[in-house]
Amino acid sequence: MSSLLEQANSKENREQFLNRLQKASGRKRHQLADHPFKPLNNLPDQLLADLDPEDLYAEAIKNSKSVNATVVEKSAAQVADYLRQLVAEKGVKNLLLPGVDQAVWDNYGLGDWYQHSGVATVNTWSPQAGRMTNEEYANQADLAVGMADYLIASTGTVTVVNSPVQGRGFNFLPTRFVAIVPKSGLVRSTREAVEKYQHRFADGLTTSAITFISGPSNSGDIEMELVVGVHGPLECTYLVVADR
Amino acid sequence: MDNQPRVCIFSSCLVDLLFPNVGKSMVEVLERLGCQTFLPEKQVCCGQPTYNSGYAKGSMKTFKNEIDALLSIDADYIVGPTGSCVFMIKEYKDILKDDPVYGPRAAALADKIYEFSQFIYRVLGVVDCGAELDATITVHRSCHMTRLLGERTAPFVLLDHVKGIKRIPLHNVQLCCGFGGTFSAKEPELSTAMVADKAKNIMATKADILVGMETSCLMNIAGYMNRNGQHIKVMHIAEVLNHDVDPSRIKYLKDTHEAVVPANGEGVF
Amino acid sequence: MGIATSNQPFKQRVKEAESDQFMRDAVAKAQDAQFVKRTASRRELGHWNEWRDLAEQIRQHVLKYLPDYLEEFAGNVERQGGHVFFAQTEDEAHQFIKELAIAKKAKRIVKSKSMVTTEIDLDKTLLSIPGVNLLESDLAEFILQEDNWEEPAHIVFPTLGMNRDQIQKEFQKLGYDGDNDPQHEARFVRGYLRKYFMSADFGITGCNFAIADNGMINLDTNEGNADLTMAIPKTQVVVMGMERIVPSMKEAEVLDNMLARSAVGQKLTTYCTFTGKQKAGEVDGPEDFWVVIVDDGRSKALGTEFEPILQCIRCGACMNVCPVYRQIGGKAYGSIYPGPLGEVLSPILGGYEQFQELPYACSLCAACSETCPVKIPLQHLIREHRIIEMDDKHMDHSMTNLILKMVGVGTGSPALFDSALEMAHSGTKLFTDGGPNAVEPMYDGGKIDYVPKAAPKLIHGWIDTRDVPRPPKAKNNFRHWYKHHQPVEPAPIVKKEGGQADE
Repeated sequence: MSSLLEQANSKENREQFLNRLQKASGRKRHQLADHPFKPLNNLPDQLLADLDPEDLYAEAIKNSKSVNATVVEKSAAQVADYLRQLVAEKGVKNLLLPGVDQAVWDNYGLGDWYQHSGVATVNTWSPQAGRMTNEEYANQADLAVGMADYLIASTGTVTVVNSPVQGRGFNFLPTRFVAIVPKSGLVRSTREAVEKYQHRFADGLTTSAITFISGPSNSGDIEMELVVGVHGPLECTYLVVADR
Repeated sequence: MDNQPRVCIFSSCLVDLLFPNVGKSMVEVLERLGCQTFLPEKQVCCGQPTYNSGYAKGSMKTFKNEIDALLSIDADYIVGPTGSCVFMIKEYKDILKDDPVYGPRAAALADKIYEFSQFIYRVLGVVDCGAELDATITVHRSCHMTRLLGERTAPFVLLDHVKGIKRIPLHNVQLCCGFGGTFSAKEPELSTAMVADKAKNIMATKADILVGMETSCLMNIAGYMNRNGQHIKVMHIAEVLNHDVDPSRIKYLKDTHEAVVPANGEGVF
Repeated sequence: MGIATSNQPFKQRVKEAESDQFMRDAVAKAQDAQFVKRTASRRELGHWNEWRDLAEQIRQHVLKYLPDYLEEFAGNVERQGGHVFFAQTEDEAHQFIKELAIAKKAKRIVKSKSMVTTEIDLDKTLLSIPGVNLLESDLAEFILQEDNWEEPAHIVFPTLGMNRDQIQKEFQKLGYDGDNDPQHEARFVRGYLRKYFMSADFGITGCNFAIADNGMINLDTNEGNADLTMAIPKTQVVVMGMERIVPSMKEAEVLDNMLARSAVGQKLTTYCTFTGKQKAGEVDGPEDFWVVIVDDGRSKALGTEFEPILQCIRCGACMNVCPVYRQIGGKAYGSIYPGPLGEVLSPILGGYEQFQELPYACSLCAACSETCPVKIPLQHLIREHRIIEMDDKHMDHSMTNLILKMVGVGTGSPALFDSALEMAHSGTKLFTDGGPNAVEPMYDGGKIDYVPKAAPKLIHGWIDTRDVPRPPKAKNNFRHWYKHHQPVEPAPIVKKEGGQADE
């Protein structure tokens, strides 16, 4: 028997399968150009569309709390103090940071906040460090402070994009996760966030993963009783920072 | 009186066989509300027992007989005391769509058939039938009427206007009573477990009377409760709306300040 | 065994389920809790029925052009360096993944919950490779795995029916010494699996929605296990039912919202990830990305009246509202797809012989169709199965079959019905007076009576647990009354209205 593996990505494997579907359904293939999907309503675009920015933000906070996320808003002048205080309060010993450019930290007024934070170990997720090392950093971290793009009002969600400086393990392995999200990143809905990413893809964004995160990991698998903190972070904070 | 609506009575086989008082009450209420009624004698059954059991071919004669019978009267409307059977009759239109003779007739039938409470509230526009019943009731909702016929509010509006009635909400009103036609006979263990739960919830309301819109569900629930010595009185909505009527209390929606309640209520969740 | 989970007859499985009071209470409690959460989250969204229209449209559109969307998706995966294999059968699907695991020298495989991997019997196939370890990372699936690969009882809540004490016992075998608090049990699993995760080399996930126009897959989870499964192993295999595809992220986003609200009453699952093969410069994630697209009988529904079942997004709401599921739980269905979804899907995927009874385990109450976020007419399709079983396959040879055929003849004939009306009262002499009625029945002077057991089986099902009203004498029946009644005088206000309101 020839290896099935050789059939992956083969035209023969695909065509045989798809032609069989065509035959079963009795419908011709390659009709999509003339029949693209046209939604019958625009409800996703209308979601929370009537709210002014202030009410939208209030909605975001309400919904974030309902998914057990902690929402904190700080000005750029306050944010460094807040993080140092958080680190002290939680007794953080092992901190993980994204390997973003200094300009990104500076933009939030966070230039060198962690150097005076009193944390014993500070690691940075970095493409130079290699896969295993980064994953181990993340596994050991009791706090990761990372960057998020958008805060979604309708669902209480922040979005993170996987990048060389903030990988998947960064967002999911540490015990606590703080997502710094610019207040200008407030959007109404998952629809609005998805549209922004579609535009960014068209403009050349390269990423293998976009994750919409709504609070800490959880499960209702045991007697349907909500348990907060399963495989992912046990605590999740959205740190909303007013942009400079 | 001019312009009396001509209403053909779709009696349903259970009313014909077992529940004369339900049919009688329905006819009296409709006549009191100004309808001229007709009862085609050749009608038998909507065909649900066989069709819902999978005997489509064996149901065709039943369907066609019912179509011929109900269309034998030149009526403005056809009204029946059970939402489930009324919906079955509405379904003929799809089932017989390829039949050149019965397809169009089934479509004509579907356009003018209504369940009793739906007809009173939505077509006649009546909110109060003038009835009085000094009792605590609870209501078993009909699954087919609410979900397939799409009428979930009319019976409640009408019952809430009956003088003297106090309605206790039935816990888990959305759950089927376990009748399901031949389901109750083919899967007796499942059906019995379901009706036992329903009876338990009914007893918990401590209501004097269980009111329903389907004779079949009521027969199932009452049959189980009777076997188990659970005391309750059972009434079909037509019997309630025909109870101690003072015609001077009859009221139309337009003469009240009430807004019409949509059939779907606040929408289905 | 494919989707079948039992070889016992259906009646036997029902009997066992009915004696499991803990399970039944748990299911009822779960249904009631989900009712509140689901309803609240849908109400909060607003315009629920219009959202359903949109979701239905998306799913129907995709099914209509399924080969085109699969071709577009596969092309996009391949362009980004991924691999796609189209598997027609269960065997092809699991053999392919087995060969891949061997080729990649996989030692520590980690999975995140996926119904389709259960469907294709993947776990057993992979465990047959010498030296391979495999762990389910979803909390519930992990519990079932530790409980000797017990089959799931629900597609969203697989351990529904197990209690915290049973789970504590299973975990004790793994070294757990804590109490039965779910929080502590879950935390134990986190630690246990974390060690495994960190050295896992081969990850297997399902797929909520494949995104045709960019080749990504979309996964919805709450625990974070799927994201770890995609982060750490260097190889990822995505197993997807061929129908789980959408045109773009926009349509996925609509369905993600509806799935979470329908499945668990959340606005969105905690993690909703769009993902693919690792990109240049990225540190973790799958360097090797494989998608296995599975038919396994689904195409039998294409182009038939059963095509709408492929609209399903596996939210499980239909089982959360089903009054039959409430009584017997998931396992009695004998299929990994239980409840209304399973009653429709199982005979298609697994055949009528195996799942003949399932379409009859339903009272046709339509609660499933009403709650379905993608508007599958479930109760209608269940009845369609019955029609195929009876009219096309003639699968019932019992007394019931004969009786129902006679009912068909009787209800089709006014003459026969007339004689039935005449004879009903005297013909029911076998009724015995059970004494005074507890229930005051619906007709004047009538009685609900007890019928002794000398009746055919079909009738037995009814009379074993219920009394029956005895038909009135012909002179007291409705037809007789109608013929002789004097029409009621219309009420004065009605006369004033001219007989009829605004029409």
